[in-house]
Amino acid sequence: MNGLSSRGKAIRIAVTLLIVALGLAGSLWGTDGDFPLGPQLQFANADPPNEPVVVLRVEAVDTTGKRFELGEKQSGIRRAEIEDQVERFRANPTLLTSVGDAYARRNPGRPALVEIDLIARSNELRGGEPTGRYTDENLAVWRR
Amino acid sequence: MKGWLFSPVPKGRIAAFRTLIYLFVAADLVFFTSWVHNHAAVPGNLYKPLLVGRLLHLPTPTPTLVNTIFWILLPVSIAAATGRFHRLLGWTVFVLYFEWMIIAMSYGKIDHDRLGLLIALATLPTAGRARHGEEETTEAGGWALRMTQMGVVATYFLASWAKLRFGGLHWLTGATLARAVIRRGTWLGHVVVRVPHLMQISQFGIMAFELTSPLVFFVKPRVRYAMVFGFYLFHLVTIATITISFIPHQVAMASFLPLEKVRPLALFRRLPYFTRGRAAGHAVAVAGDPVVDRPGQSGHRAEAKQSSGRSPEAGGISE
Repeated sequence: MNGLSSRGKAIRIAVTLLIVALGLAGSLWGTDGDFPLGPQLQFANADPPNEPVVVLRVEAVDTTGKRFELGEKQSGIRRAEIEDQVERFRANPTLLTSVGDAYARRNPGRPALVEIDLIARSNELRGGEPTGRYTDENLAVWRR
Repeated sequence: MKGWLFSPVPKGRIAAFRTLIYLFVAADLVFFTSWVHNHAAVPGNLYKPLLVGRLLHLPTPTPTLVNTIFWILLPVSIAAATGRFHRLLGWTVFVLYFEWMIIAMSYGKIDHDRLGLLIALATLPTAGRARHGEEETTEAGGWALRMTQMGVVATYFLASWAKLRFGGLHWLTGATLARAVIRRGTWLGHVVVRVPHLMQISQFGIMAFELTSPLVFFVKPRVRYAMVFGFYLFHLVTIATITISFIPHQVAMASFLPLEKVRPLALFRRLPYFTRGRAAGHAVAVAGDPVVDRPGQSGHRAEAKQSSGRSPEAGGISE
């Protein structure tokens, strides 16, 4: 067997204890911004069974009048990234041009955008099950 | 406890795990998590630095930074998969991939599917030299695998803790899974979400499995393998219903498996075509060859016997 020296073991034990301590502290008191040792927040929120489920999307209109979704494929920005910063977009709709800029960089030569909308779709829930009904609301609009 | 932390494993398992992990990093860059590269085009005013980014004073990502990391990390991770220069290449991959992940998670959405992978990348450079098929055991390698396993299990256990901390007991009867289906469900997801109470029952099941996941360290090998199989099955269900793959976590979870037994290249070399090709170039020992009866005795027939007796994989350093 290829054994470890006692020094090699001591260093590894210290590293192990440090990572375990930081990981536990992250889960006890940390926030998501403490990645990679923050709390394991995947699907950790308890969503009320009778309140609507909100799904955000960004839509754009270009100079030809075509309206389309400005999703992750088009802008490279993930939906959850938009959702996390939704209050910034509401307070300052001009920030939507950053999403448009990301689209323009990824799609050179496409017609320029003249409008970008941030839309929230509220899907109705009853007893934890979707009813299929929904309403849309514009949270922020930028127009050239 | 000390013995458990350093439980020796065959070096062949370390070699195989290295190949798997580093090939996955390359595949992750171009396929599984290819969206990280998209952040090159995102304006800096949408950057939301993580704690680690602020502590290390990491720069706001620019197209140059993102593209440079991508084009260095891709060949280096493929080179690291050979197992050569395991320290130099291993640490380079860890540092670059860690920065790559910081770029990934610094725009307001943090993924929780790669704690085990990051720990594997941080510990594999310390696991020592290892060749495919090598049977000698190693404590340094044992520690690297154990740490990865702990990262994998912590992902489950700490997830149940986070549910209790942020969602409370209401999480069990809430609409978390229904919400997940509405937001990102597959056709199958939209079918099962309509089965009365199935989502809440599943939430009880998830909480129970996550809370008890550390038992995997205390059970006999057969039960352990069954539990790991159950973990994989769980991810199969989540990908089929809510398109959550947790693939980096699944790859790290291979640290529980006897990977040294999976030897695709050795198997490939044993194919009839290759063994015929080799035999054609060498003299082959046959019945009736003279027996070598003293040390140092050599001769045409004895040499022939030696060369043909060589195992096909003994010559390879790594696969």
